[in-house]
Amino acid sequence: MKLSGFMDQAYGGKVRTKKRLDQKRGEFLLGFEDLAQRLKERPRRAEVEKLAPEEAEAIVDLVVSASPGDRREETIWGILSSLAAERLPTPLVIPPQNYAGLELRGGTIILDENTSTAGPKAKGSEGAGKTAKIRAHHLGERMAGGRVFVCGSAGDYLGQEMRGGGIVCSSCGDYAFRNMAGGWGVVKGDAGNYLGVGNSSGIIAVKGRAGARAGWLMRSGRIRVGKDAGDYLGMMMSGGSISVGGRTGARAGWRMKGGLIMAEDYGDEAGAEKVGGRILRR
Amino acid sequence: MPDPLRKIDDLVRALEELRLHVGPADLLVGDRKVNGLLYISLANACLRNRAALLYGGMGANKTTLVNLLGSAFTGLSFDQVENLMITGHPEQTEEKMVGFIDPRQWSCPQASSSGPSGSESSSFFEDVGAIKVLWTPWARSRWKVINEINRFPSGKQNLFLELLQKRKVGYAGETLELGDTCYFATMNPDFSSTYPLDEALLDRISISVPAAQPDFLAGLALAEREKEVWELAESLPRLTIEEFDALPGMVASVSLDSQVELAIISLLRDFTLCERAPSFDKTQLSGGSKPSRGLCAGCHYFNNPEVCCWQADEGLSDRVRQDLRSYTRAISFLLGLGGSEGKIEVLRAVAPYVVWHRISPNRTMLERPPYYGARRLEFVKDIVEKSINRTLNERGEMNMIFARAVDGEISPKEALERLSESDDPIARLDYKRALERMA
Repeated sequence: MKLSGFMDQAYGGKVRTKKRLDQKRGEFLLGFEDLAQRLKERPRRAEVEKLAPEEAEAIVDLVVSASPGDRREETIWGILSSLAAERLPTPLVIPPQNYAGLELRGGTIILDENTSTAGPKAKGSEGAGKTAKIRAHHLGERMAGGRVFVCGSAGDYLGQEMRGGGIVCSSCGDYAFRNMAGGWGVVKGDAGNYLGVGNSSGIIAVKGRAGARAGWLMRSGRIRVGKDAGDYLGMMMSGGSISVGGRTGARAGWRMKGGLIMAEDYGDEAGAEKVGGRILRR
Repeated sequence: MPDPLRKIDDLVRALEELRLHVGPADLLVGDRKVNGLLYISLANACLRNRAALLYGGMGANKTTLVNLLGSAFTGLSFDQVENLMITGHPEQTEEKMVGFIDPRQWSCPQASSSGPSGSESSSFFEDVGAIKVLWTPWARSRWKVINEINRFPSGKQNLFLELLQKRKVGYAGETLELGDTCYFATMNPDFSSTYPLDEALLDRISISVPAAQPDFLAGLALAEREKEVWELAESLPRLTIEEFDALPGMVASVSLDSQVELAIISLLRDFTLCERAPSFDKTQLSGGSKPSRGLCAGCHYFNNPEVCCWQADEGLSDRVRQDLRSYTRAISFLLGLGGSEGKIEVLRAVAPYVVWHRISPNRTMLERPPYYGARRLEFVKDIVEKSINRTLNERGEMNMIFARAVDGEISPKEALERLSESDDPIARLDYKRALERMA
């Protein structure tokens, strides 16, 4: 048999015309650990983006296969999760892990503990509550757009320093939406202490209770708490508004300089040492 | 008309039902999943003069499985097969394994003429009189099991190298022709009392399959086994001598299509070609100049995941080609794919097991996830898969151009021009050189 006959049989008349080897797009990476090793101590998003693969699927593979060992690797992983979500046409569904959605600019991340993806599980510590579930911290931190849905409870520092986008979760730990400058957050259950500390903009809605010192040093923006709030609500706030559906704890509006607090009922010493602003009863 | 295939199917079922082998279905052939350890051992039993190495820790059912298969294929009892086996240890001697000089030939003359036959006198010894050698049952057996081969010191491993290479064994000037034999070896991971296997010996081992400890479900199944292995082994179906002898011919009658042949040749070239090696042949490289020693630094193929050459230190010998063809045929035969298409899927399944023990993967790649330095077989599977896929898809046009030039349908010059756009290693290093010679 002639060689061309042999080749004809081998290919059955279906010959592809691709001639060259695939050109590498982005850096050739051996895995998440390889990517982490190439980045400096405090990697920025642009540096991670430069080394990460172009294709969304390849980033998802990295995200799913990674096992970040320390905080530095967790932040790299968080940025990668955001890059994947931004490039995917559909929501990125992954198990919750610290720093998921870090600096997210678009797209949607669904953090679901029960997802079938064989990815890393959250390593966050247990929250102050009695829940036995492990909660991931720093979710949606510094995000500027997109959506993060947490199927379950979020840990501490949820949406910290966020500038845009939105976060929805069942409940959250301490320091949620700290230094928030834009966007919105919805907590369908209870929030921990220090909710919306130092906010300069943005909207926070908590359907359940909020812990102590919600709205501490708040400058602008809005906080709505559906049920009761803890002590020192709106402490030293200078602007914005806080609305509470139930009763506040002691010393609501302590040393407040501006803004508005409105609640059904107040605990002891409401408005103590108040300099400015208003405290209203419904 | 012998029908050994039906008996082998019965044997597979019996091994499972009697809880004599309960491994997972980890070998994917097309859309069918079978147990790799069992089917590769069965494939080796259907072939002759090929050696299968079963690699794994203690209690992974390596030796027992091979002896059970030996009992079923040769018709001997389990005890008899166990007695045929030799086990490696540093004090093991050639006399115990192969044979020894019959002392009766000097004390009683009639013994010298009635000793075990099978020996041939060499011309040297014809002058001084033939020395009678008593060959051991293992040496005379057509089912040879070398248990814990890596417990033999390097010097003693050479015996097996010679055995597999020459298919004959010599002692005291006498030679025993081994005939068509099934070879099996087992090997543990590196322990303090083990020795590394010589590369030349590894190359002569045709196929290697890992054996794992029983998982939870397998443990449950084993808990249901109430009789001893040797008792249960009596219930296994047994092949007749005629059926055992008919197997190699039946396997050889399985034809391989052009797709498989092309994929095999291309796979070998993918591993063997190296732009920087003498004659582009990586098997020519010595210890200091290998991909792992910096040979590939700056090469434009380096770090390209589509290319195999830089990902393994060694090239593949022609024995690999023969082994790939044989085991593809044997597994196709066992799975009843003899007359149908889809043998390329068999090759995909079998090829990693034929290759992985023969090469040293690039350490940097192997250390990374998802291989973590330990999943060598998975690493080789991935490279083999890439090579086969590339041959079946992207290499189509360049192969057709080359074929037409070889057949004289187009001029070598035209083929060279058209191939100049291809940067595939086979096109650049094999086809272009061949066309330049033709031009």
